[in-house]
Amino acid sequence: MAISKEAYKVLEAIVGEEYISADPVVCEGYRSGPGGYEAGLGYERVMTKIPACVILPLTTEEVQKIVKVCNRYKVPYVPYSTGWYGPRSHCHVDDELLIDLKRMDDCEIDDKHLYAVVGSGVIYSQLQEEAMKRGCYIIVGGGGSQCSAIANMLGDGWSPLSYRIGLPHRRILGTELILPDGELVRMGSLAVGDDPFWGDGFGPDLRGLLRGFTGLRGCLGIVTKMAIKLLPFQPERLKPTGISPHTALQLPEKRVKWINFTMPSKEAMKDAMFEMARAEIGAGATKVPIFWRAIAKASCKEEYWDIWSKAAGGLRLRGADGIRGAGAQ
Amino acid sequence: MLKGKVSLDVTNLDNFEYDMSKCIKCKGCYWVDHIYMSGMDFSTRCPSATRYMFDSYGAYGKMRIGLAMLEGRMKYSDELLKTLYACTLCGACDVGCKRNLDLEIELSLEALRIKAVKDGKGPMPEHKKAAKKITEKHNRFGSPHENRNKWLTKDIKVAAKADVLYFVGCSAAYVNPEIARATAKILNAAGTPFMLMPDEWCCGNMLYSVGMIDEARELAKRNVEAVRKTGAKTLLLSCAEGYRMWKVDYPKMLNIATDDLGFKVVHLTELVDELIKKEALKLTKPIDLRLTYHDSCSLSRLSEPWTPWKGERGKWGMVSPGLERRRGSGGVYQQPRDILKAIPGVELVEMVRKQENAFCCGAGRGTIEAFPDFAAWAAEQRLFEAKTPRLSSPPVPGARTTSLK
Repeated sequence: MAISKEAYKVLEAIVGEEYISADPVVCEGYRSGPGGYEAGLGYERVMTKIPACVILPLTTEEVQKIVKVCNRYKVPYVPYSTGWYGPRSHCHVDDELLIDLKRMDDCEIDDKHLYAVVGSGVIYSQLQEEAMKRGCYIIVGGGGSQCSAIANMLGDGWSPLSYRIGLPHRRILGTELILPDGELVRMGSLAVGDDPFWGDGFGPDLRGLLRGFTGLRGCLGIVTKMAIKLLPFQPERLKPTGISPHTALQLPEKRVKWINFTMPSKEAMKDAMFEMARAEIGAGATKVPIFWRAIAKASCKEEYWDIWSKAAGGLRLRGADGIRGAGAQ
Repeated sequence: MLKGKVSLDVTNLDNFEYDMSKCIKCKGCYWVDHIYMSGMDFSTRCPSATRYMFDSYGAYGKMRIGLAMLEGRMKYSDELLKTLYACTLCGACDVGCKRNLDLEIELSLEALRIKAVKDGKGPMPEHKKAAKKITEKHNRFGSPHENRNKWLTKDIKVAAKADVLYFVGCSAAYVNPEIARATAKILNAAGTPFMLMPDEWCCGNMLYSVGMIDEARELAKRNVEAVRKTGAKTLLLSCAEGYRMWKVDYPKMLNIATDDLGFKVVHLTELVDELIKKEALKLTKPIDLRLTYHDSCSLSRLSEPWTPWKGERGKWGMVSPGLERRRGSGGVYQQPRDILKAIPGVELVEMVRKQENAFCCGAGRGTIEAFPDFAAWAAEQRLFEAKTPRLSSPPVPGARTTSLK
C-alpha cells in the first residue's frame, strides 16, 4: 500500500471499510484506457497511473474531510465521476488517491422553477428521463448520455442545440465546490441560503473557479452538487422502441421531425438556417459529416467501412462543396 | 491478439486481448440502454457493479484486470477470485457493449474463469463441492441419481419413443419438481407426445460457467451423443440455463454450430407459444391476475445460436471473414409474453427493466453456490422492481429459488 496505513485508517473512518480499497485488483479496475481525443496516441499508457487507493464518498461533507486528510498526509488525489473521457479523468502521479464520486447520485427536480439539483454520480440519461417525466428537458452534450451531468457541464459540453438555449456554463445555477484545502464554496444563491435557483447570486460571480486557468478540465476543486437549469419540453412523451442494438426513441410525429438534407453550399446552408430560425420551426440544424450516415446504417465496424468506402467514392464524384446537414423540426 | 489470427475459442485468453484492451469506459455495460433509461431508479443493468460499486466489479474493470492477467501483471488473490466469480455472467454487459463497441465481453469473462481454473486457482471452493456432486451423482445437489425421475406422477403420460425429448434438468428434477410436472402436463394436454432421456445426467451448466471446461465438455459429449441415440428431433427444456447450455455452450465447447447438433433445441415457452397459436392448446379458464414477467438471462439475451468463427483481425480491429456477432437481439422475448397475454383475465405489466435490459435474478452461473448473499441481494432488487405481490413463475428454476428466498 503506497498510502500510509495511518492515512488509510483515517480515510476509512470517513466512509467505512466497504467504500475504500487499496487492493491491487480494485485499483487495476481504475486503470485508464483508450478514449477521448487521445485514443490511439498512447497517452494512457505513458502518462497515467493506477491509483494507490480508491475511495467512494457519499456526501459533500465526506469529500471535504477526504480532501483535508489528503492535505494533512500529502496524498495527491483526483476526482472521478464515471471514468469517461479517457485518460484525463484518471491518476497521473504515483501513490494517488482516486475519489470515485459515483455514490453521490442524489437528484432533485424543481419542476415549477425548472431546475435540477444533482450529485456528481448522476449521468445525463438519468437526469434527462427525470426531467422528461416532468415535462422538461436538458441538453445532452456531445460527450453522450453516459456522462456525469456535472462533469459535462464543467467541460462545457457542446450540443447542436446550444445555439438555441445557450452554452452549458450559462445553465449552471447554485453549485457546491470543495477547494483544494477542503473549504466548501457555495456559489450563486447557495451562498445566502439553501435554494440553488440563482446562478449569479449576490456579489462577485465565482463560477470562473469551475473553469480555472485552462478552461476544459480546469476546475479548481471538486464539485459535489450543482443546480442545472432545465427547459420546457413539448408535451408528448418520446416512446422507446426496438431491441438492442436497434433501439430508438419514437418522436411525436406531429411535433418533431428529423430531416436529413443536403445543401449546395455553405452560403445556402446559412440562409436556410436563418429562415428556419425566423419561422421558429427549427430546434437545431447542424452540419454533420457524411460518415455519420454510414455509422447509422452499419451494424458493425466491418459493415461501416464497407458502406463508407462506397459513400466516400460517391462523395468525391459529387465534389467537395456539398454541405450535408441534419435538422430536427 | 490485437492483430493476426483470432477465434472465439474461450480456452485461449489471447483471443480476447483486443476486446479487453479497447474498453473506453462508456459503461454501456453498466447502465440500462439510454433509450430505455427509467430515471434515477432501476438505471443499471449489472448486478455485480451495482452491488459492489468499485469499477473492478464492472466489465470495464474486469477487462482491465483480465488484460493484466493475460500480461502476467496480476497475482491471484481472494479479491481477484471474488472479482471473477461474484458475477452472474448474465450477459447484460455483453449486450450493452455491443450496442456501442462490439467487444466480446461475455466470452472474455468466460475465458478468464477458464484461465483461473487452468492456473489451478479457480473455481471457488463451493463450486468444487458442487462439481464433485455432479461427478458422483450426476446432479449438482448431490441427491441420489436414482431419484431423478421421482417427480413423475401416475397421471403423466411419457412415451417410449417420440420426436420430442424433454430434458428435465437437475433443478426441476430434484428441487422444483412442480416445474417438471407442469411441463409434462402441458405436453399431455396439447397432445404432444414426449419421451425422457434413458439416463439423464446434469447438463453441466455450473461446470462450464465456473470455468471447468474439461469436465463440462465431457458431459456435453456424453449428453449430445445420448440425445442423438434416441432419435429425437426436438430437445425440449423448461430450464432457461439448460436451454442456453444445450443451444449455445455445448456447440461452443464442441466447436460446432447449433444447427449441427442433429436436433433442435427448444424452450418450453417457444413450444407453448406455438401450440397456442396453432390452437393445439386453448387457454379458456379466466384468471383474475395482474402479473409481470422476468426475462431470465439465459432464455433471452444469452440464447442466440452459436456459430464457430475463426479468422484474422486487422486494421482498426476489423475482422475477416465477417463475424455475425451475438448481440442478444434474437433471444426469446416475445413468446412468454404472448403466452401470458393469451390467458383470459391476465393483465401483463412490464417491469422497468425488461428484455435485453432486464436485471439478473442473481442465481445463475455459479453465483448462488459461492455468493448466496449477493444472489439474494440481486433477487431482492428484482422483486422490489416488480412491485406486485403476485409474480408469474419465472421460467428459470434458479430465479424461482432465489426469489422465494
